[in-house]
Amino acid sequence: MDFEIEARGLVKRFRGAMALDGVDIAVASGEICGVLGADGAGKTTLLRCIAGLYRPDAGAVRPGRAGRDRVGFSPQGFHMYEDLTVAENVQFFGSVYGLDRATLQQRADELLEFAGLSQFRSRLAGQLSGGMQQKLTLACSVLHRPPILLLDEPTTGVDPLSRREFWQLIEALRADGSTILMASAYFDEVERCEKVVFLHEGRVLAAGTVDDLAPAGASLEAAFRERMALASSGTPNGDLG
Amino acid sequence: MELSKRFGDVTVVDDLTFDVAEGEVFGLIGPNGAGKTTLIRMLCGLFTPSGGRATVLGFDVAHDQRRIRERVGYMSQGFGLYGDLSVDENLRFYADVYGVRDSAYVDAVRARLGLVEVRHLVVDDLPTGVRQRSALAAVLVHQPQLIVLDEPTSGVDPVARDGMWRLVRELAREGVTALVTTHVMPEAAQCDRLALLAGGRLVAAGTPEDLIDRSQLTVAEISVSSWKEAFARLQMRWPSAALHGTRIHIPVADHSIDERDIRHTLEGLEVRSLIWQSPTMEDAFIALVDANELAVEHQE
Repeated sequence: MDFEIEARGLVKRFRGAMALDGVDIAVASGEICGVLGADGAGKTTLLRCIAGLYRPDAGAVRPGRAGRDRVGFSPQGFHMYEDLTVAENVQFFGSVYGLDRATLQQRADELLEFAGLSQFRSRLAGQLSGGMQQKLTLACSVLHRPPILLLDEPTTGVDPLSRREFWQLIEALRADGSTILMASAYFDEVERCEKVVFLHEGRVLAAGTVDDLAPAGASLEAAFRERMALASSGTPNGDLG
Repeated sequence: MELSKRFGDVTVVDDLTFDVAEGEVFGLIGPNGAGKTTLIRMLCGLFTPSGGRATVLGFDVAHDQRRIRERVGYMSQGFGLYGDLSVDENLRFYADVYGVRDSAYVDAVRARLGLVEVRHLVVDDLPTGVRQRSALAAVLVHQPQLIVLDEPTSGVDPVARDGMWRLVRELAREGVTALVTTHVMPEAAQCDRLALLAGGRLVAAGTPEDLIDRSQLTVAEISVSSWKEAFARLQMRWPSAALHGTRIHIPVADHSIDERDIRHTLEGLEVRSLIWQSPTMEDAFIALVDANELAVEHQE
């Protein structure tokens, strides 16, 4: 099997604290894999290791540092220049990726149309609604047509309508053959992924298809809560846990 | 209240009317940019309305802003804590700002929110869920009669989200009114009543059940073996079809779709179940916002 995204025995420590403690995941070409986990479970660290932004302390990742130009990375929160317009942001990220002017112009047009942002080209990014900001972030992260997409909670703070539009973009990218790894806090989003990983305190608690994890019509949410309750006795998470 | 707020030429909150009762958990929902945060800031006495009138806890939002601020706990998006200070330092800061002298009360709030163990830790080092509980503690130290929480669960994991809602419910039982915004529809469905805003206007208000009724929908929920293929076919035929996880919802007004039509469209695929049910909060939200947009376009 050819895995576009892979981690084997991945370990990452920060000042001695274990953030990832031997994580194995594998996502085949054209799949979407969703990562669910509590705050501090290691989701963001996992994505950053796979994107090659952090060097693992042990284990191996793919694509990692060597394959950074094959990755589109959409970090948590909004990281566009708020005092630049939509078009200027796209221009900036395109030039960072080294696209020539003609190519950039063509892709910018395509992507803004695709993201429903064409009529907002000249609006300052800081004045877009949360849903539009997330769509702009996604558009900028795929300007260089990366085969691999890493998305860190891309729909947090996004209203239900925009979330639905955002997913149409994701599905279109998947249909084009992108391989996607996504951290999410929403069960209904993760249910649409071919593969699901429950991450807890830097370890994979469970992984598989939705049917593997929540058999016989049980909801993924119920399965997740059950596993978390079993695993989280003694979590250093304040007194309420 | 009937309220409006303009920034320059832009009317962000446009002639809005609703009321919230004491001890109620009242949800504000609406698309990004609907005006929820602007509304909240007027109600907390932070923005002065451009028109209309509103009272909060019996005080006028245009004239009694200081009295309102003394009695309201406002937790902004992003929680509003000092990230480089510890939990205790933040709580002390807020207690000082509000002139709270009863340090035993502050201790009680800290204990109630499960923050004793982490009280010396710097806020930026805490998991989001604990940071959020610290923020809630900070808005409770002056014993507000009303708490206003702007997207309190944004970016917070599912387990911590449950804990947050349990606390809000508990406080409401003790008589603390809560005004909460959220984009998570299962959370909205837990509120006593809701106001749905879009484009600065009130689209609908009532209990979650009222809003669901108001959408006048029934939903065909379909579970199919190859849901991607099924969804592509159904959406081609009925553009309002939507995925909820791997199940497909087709919202239908007045039973205008025949079940045989759906099965025909899915010919060759294994339909595991097809049931008719009431819409979810999310179905209702989208239907009401869509209907409102159509109505607004029609007017203009």
